[in-house]
Amino acid sequence: MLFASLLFSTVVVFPVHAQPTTQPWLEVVPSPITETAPESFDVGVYIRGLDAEWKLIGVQFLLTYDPTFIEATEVTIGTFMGNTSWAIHGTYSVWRIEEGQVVYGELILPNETSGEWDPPEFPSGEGLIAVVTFKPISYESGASFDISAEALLGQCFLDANTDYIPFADPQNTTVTYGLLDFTYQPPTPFAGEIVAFEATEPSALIGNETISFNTVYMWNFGDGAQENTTDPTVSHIYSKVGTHNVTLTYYFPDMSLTITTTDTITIGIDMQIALGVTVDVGSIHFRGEFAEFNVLTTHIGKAVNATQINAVLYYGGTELSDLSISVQLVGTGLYRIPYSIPADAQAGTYTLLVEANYYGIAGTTLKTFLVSPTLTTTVAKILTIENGVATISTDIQVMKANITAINARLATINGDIATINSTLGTMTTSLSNLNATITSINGNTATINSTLGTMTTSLSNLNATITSINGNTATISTTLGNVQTKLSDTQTTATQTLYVTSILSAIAVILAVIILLILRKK
Amino acid sequence: MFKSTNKNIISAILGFLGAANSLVIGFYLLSTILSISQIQSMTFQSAIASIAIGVAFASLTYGSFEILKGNTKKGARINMAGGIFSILIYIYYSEFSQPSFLGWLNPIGITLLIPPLLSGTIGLLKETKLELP
Repeated sequence: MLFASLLFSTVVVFPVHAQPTTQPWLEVVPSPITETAPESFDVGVYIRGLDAEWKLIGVQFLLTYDPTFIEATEVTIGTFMGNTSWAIHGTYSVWRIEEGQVVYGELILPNETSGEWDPPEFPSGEGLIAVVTFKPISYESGASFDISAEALLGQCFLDANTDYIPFADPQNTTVTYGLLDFTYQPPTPFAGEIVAFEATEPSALIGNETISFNTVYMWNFGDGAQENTTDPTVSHIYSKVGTHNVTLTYYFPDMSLTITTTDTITIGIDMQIALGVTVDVGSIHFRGEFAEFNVLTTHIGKAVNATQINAVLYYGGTELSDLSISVQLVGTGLYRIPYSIPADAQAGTYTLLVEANYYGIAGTTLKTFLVSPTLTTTVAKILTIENGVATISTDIQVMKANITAINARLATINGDIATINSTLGTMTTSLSNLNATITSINGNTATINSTLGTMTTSLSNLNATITSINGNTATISTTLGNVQTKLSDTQTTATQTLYVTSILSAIAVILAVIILLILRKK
Repeated sequence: MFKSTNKNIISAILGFLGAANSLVIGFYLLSTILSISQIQSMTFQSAIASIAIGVAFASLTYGSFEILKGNTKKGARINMAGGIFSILIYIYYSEFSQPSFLGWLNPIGITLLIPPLLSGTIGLLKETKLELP
């Protein structure tokens, strides 16, 4: 307490002995100590230009800083005052950390017996008084502030007579935060081209030394893509032409702080690379078929939506139909062109010409296909019939056709398989696909109603078997399900006769028994 | 005095009734087989039915005539056998044939089979028990 009160005493006593010509001063410099964490940094307070004739025994200073940006967390005693050449009895130091300032004082202890300072020599030269550790608490792009050492009580140094030594102006240090921004290359990128973004790394310049910060870079490229990295460089490919707002958010996890910066990037077109147009039309189609053509537009290997697309169908050297209005976008760069081939379409080779445009870049291609009047395959099968459209499987492809357009009609039935004739040729299908039902049975002939019309067929074709008979009604099991049918009129008569006879027999038996009983009584 | 003639007449009538019943059953069976023959071949069933009905009808008719002629015991035995044979025919076409032809007629169809059995039973009864004072 004695030393503390001595250190922070407000009494100023001017020295009476002869003073050296040079005055010592304090200097705040970036830390000579290796940093242990990137988010914290150290500054050292040095004494410079000290003449031994000053007989310095004590030092005190006030270190001030901007509490908005940093806070002092720790004070470490320096090596200068404790030098054993003059601190033969040791030193006493005291400090206090307050908001925006650190107060530090250190005193060389006197001879405990005499109470006098009698070292072999007094401090001289220069050395580290103390180290103050700071922790950043906020980051402002481009902000700057000082860390200054100044006299606490008008003087900083105390001599052996407990007088204050005059001091020169201190040399302070300045902390400057770096600007947070990002750049990208090339400056005028094309769609499909790799754009390299580089963010400015957050840093603080203290004197001539730089400290860095733990940072997460959160990129929003403005086209829906996002990416988080700990590396300040990142690359991205834009597929859409136009201007995009790129947002970079710096996240400082140690400070739980985010700082956002935004810039725009304009994506252009590489006019030197043509637009790729790929068309798939199949190899063969048939009259009455619902054909479907597919178009894919690409630029630099990536599917892109064309700004305009035209499709024209040609036959025999003349334009047959402009299909542009039928073009439907299915996915990015993928288009579908449905086309119903007329039932009276000419057989032969057709050509589909597709022209596409992508922000001024054109692409063109054509494909040919064959229209055949009939199926050449013998294994054509109707897989399904929905809303009048049959899905037909051949050994070449699966296609769709309007059953009316191809004049499909039921020809024969064998078990569960129906044979269908059409303008495309003969096909088979399951009876279940035709919603076939037996509407009537006449003798061995069944009348069947289906989506392809009504026809008659022998019951044997339906694998008919009689499962039960009830009087003049028979239940028949067929490939179209169970059906009940009334047998002939003769059968009706026989049934009625059998029924009546049964009743008459019962009556006759009863009468016979009664007569016998009567005769027995007589 | 109860004369044996009365018993014979009743027995014979029941025998003739059983023969007629077998004819009606046969008529139905053949009619049915003929009706469905276009859908499902029933040649074997048709032959079996014809023979069986023929045998039943013939035996019952013959047995009934024998009873009328006074050969009561003999006629009754024949009618009993014809009745049992008719039952076998009925059971076969009711339960075992595919499809079932007579299953729908149960249980009233049983009454068709009682007359021949009753004819045989009456014919085989001892005359003393049937005599009146």
